[in-house]
Amino acid sequence: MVSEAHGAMSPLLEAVGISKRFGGLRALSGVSLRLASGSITGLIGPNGAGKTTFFNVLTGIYKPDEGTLQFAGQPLPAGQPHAVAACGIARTFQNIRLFANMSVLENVMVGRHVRTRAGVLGALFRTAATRREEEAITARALELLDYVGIGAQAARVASTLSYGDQRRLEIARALATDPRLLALDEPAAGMNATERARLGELIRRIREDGTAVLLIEHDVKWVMQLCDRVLVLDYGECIAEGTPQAVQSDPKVIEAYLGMGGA
Amino acid sequence: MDTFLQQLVNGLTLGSIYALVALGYTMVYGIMELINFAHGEVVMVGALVALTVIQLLSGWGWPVPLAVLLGVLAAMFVCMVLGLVIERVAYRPLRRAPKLAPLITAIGLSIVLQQVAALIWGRGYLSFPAVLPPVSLAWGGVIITAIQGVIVVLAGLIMAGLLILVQKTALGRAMRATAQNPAVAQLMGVDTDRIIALTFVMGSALAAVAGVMVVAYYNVGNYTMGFMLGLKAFTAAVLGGIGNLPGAMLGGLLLGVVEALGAGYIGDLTGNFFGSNYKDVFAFMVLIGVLVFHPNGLLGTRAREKV
Repeated sequence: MVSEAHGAMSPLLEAVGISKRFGGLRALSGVSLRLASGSITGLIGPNGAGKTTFFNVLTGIYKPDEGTLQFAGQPLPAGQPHAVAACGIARTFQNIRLFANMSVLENVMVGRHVRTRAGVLGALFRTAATRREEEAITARALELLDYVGIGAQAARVASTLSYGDQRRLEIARALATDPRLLALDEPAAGMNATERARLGELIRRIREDGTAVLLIEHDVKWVMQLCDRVLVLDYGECIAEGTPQAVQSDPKVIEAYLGMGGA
Repeated sequence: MDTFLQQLVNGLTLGSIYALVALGYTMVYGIMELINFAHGEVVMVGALVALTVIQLLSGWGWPVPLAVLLGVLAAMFVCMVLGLVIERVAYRPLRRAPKLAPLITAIGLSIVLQQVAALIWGRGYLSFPAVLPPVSLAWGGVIITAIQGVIVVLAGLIMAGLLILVQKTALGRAMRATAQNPAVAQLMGVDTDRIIALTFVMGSALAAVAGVMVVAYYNVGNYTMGFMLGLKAFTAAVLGGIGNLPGAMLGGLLLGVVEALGAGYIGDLTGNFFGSNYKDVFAFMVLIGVLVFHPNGLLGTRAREKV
């Protein structure tokens, strides 16, 4: 990690006072988050705490009502998902959203779109540059499929993959955008203990290869093992932030998770 | 037998034109589930622009092939701009509106375009100057004219090119991704607004070429010519399975052949009670038949592969 020292000084992502309302519902109220390069950060909280809403604001699907988002020192374009992708943030979804009718390989190749030209004229006339680019896209996509461990499935139609492999494919597709921050929305949902352990290895490897990870997860034990920092949301507010150990023993967190006066 | 083969040739020619127009309907539907009923009028505008340019240039004594080529290019340019404007002005503001709103807009737009065309070109018929040599190939009793050959071959090349573009290029991949899930495509860096605009532009370019083919084939053009043609092409798109590119091609060819054969045999079959002017009936009988027995179209599936 070359940028780690630098990242400690100025965070990769800095969200300040993010608020988002839907009608009368305050989905997020003044959530702030600093995230360093090369870190794995967990975003946890009960259902409806605003975790996915935060992801949607972060990736430009929603515009925040208040607050600012800085990414690598630049303000993030609000409400423009394709521009956010270009800045270097990629994500996966809680409910898997692959291009179901396309092949596994093509799904990842779409992810390369943001880093390629794909001009109309080039596509129409099949210029040498376009062909070279297409070859590079294919090669990189295959590499990423191997990286997440589903290289052998490249030619299959995405919807025919097993559930766990579909999650891996979503990660490969997100990585294809060359993100500096990978946001994973419940990546381990529906996985058994073995699959979770393997997914944890993959996430650590992604971090070691230079991409920061922000993940939403319900399995607190798994998150605590994996993450450097944890942020806890409850009713749209950040109730705790810190190392897993600190957060785990925070009385507010225990109450949010276990209800009144729990353990 | 000669009637059959001759009508088959005529039908394939007509069907190639239907297919090009049907592709415009099906591409737009595939990417945003909108029936762009103004598409037939784009064909009309393309035809009339080309006619005007060709008449003008050949009037100046320019060589005929050059006049035709420039006419086609002018038609494509005007239609592409028109497609872009239609998407931007008529449909983009209604992206999140209930499905019925853009449909009504499309019908309104169609009327507006017809009336504007009537103002520009008048309500009479414009004739296509006899620019192509009236050569033909006689094969047994079947006559294939030069213009028929040009239409079928050119349409075939364009369709093959479109399929390659959509299936094999990064742009096509972005189009298919947008069709399947625009929100996710955006997160992959696909500028879906641009892709949608581009889809309209591409469909309009095909419409322009089809428009020129129609006037070159029938030798006349008129401000109302887009209506029936659009309706037939839409029928072709539904016949093949709307949203499905090969479906639109197949549907177009099939519809052209059915119509031509119907026109060729209806007199014999009904003791000349009905004449070939009833040929339009066949297109819509086919549409009704498809909607009743195979509502998803020939190549359409319930989990449709769009664009």
